[in-house]
Amino acid sequence: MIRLLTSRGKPPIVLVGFGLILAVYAFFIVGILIADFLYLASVPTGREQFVESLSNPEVRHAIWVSLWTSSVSALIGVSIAVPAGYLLSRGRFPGVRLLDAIIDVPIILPPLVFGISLMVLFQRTFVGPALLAVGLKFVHDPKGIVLVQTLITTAFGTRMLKGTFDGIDPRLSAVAETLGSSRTRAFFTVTLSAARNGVVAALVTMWALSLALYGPVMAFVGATSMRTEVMPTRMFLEMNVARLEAALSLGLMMIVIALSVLLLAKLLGGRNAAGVGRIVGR
Amino acid sequence: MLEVTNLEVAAGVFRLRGVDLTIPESSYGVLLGPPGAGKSVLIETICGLRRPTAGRILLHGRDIVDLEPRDRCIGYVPQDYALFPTKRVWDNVVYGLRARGMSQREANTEAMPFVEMMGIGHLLDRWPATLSGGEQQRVALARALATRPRLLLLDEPVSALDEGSRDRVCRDLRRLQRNLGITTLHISHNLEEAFSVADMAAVLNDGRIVQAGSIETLVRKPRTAFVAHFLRAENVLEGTADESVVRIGAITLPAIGSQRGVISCMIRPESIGLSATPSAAGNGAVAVAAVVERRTDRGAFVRVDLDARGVPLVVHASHRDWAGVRVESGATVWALIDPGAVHVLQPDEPAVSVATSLPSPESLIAAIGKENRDRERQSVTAGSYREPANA
Repeated sequence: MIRLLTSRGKPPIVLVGFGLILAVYAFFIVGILIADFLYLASVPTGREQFVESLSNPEVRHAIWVSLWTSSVSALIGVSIAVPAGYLLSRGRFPGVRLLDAIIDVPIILPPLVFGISLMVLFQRTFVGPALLAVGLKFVHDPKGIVLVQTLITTAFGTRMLKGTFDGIDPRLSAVAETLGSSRTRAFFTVTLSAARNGVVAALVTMWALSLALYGPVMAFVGATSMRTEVMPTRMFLEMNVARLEAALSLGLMMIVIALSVLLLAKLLGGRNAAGVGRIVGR
Repeated sequence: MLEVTNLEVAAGVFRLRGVDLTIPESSYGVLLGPPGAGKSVLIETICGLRRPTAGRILLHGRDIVDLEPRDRCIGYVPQDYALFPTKRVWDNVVYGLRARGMSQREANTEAMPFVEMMGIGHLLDRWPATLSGGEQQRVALARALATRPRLLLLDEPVSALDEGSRDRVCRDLRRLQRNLGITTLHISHNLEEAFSVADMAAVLNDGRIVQAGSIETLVRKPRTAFVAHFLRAENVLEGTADESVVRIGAITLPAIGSQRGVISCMIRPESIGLSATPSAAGNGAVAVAAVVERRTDRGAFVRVDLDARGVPLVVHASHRDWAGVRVESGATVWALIDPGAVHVLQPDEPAVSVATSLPSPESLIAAIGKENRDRERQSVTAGSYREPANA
């Protein structure tokens, strides 16, 4: 649209204003990345700290735990968010509005409160012991990280996918049915196919949110080195003992990892990669 | 053949009520009605996307109400064509065949005649978003026809096209339907569309069929004032009738029909004669003095707008008749009305004030909805109106 408008001559003042707002926002995003890098490069101990962090087995383990838990959480999360988002978008049954409101709870609840509440549920009610009895240990266990990440980020994914399904014309699947498709086949071949950008966007968002969670993770599984410590918790602990360079070193690693995954998602998104970026950005 | 019998459908607060509709085998039917009349609800119910609360839908004699949409053998082309956006044109066209279990090779062979018929061979690798409205329509038709449906449902198929393309596309649709011999139901709110394609038509309003029959019947003998106005009839007038006369404003005619009290009637503009003197009235025609307000040459005829002492009349006079009375605007002529040409409209519609122009659909819907609430349900079948018991 901007290209069309500018091709007619001077861009309208409103677009110039929007451009300025976007430029200021982008300045801060790029600014913090450059500031981190410059700070570490300029401080004598910065580069040493970065190299030391990379070679530290505890840090490498935290990176590994962060990566696998985020990935597993995102996959579990999207497999919940797709049906949940579809149902909230298209479902016409009693209680759908209540369910819609419940989905928002993890979004509006402070993450730390969510982690503490989950701890109470598992340690002060029958839920934890019951799951333990069948061999499922979550508290102070890496599986607990996945649980916390999944429970929180799925709400965001569901909300995004509800919006995606809202934007897909229900007549697409209706026409597919009249053409001879079953309802299930129509969902997978038409509706979900049309929603694929939204699904990829939700997956990436859930993965990124999972990677960044630390408050509820610390509250539920703690931060045991070489076991339940993830990168954000290690960063938080480094900051607490005033090791800014160490925290920033971890931060830069997280930035590189996150940007790589976003780039990969865009490449996988193919011709619609811009759409993925748009939705993720929102 | 499609037979819809006493169909009742609830769609939110909207209701289809006692819909009876018959489209004969291999015929092209048009369902007319203003926006919000329930046309799309009816078509969606026929193809199985909505479940009726009562009634039957027979397709070639078989009740299909309990069948899933995929088992009905109905080709459905929605208003915006609903092409699958993540599939290329070719995958759209063969979708139904693949869904029915055909191999890719079989589907290709099966779909190719329709690709050629619709002239979309050059579009097969394109994405739907890159197609024009006309191209999308042809792809949607090829997709619907490829499964060899027994009934084709077209929901406002030309509404998304520009004015210039509509006539051509309507002719193409008609030719296609004739070539394939497929029973077709086409939804429209446009009279010209109906004229150009229909073997028969039905008018739907406020969830019920008001009249069905041939286009000619609908135009010449509209059943109600609503139908008359919807079909843009001229001279739809309101008057009062007693045992001996009918009074329409200052016009007095001999008694027509059996209705008494307030009546609505229609006088076709071509059935009103014009004369310079009242003595020309013969064969029982009534001569009414009227002032010429405007004259417009419409090519095949001359449209003359008259004011007959407060009653607006429109006359479509032949050029020869007009030559006999040729007068300037403001002059007085005699309108010759044959009482036999006065068509009395059914009284079960709202009182429509004297008007010669098409009222807004919203006002008609509001007015008719109010009147209809307490009225006994009436129904029509194609070409034959079943009178209510108390009529």
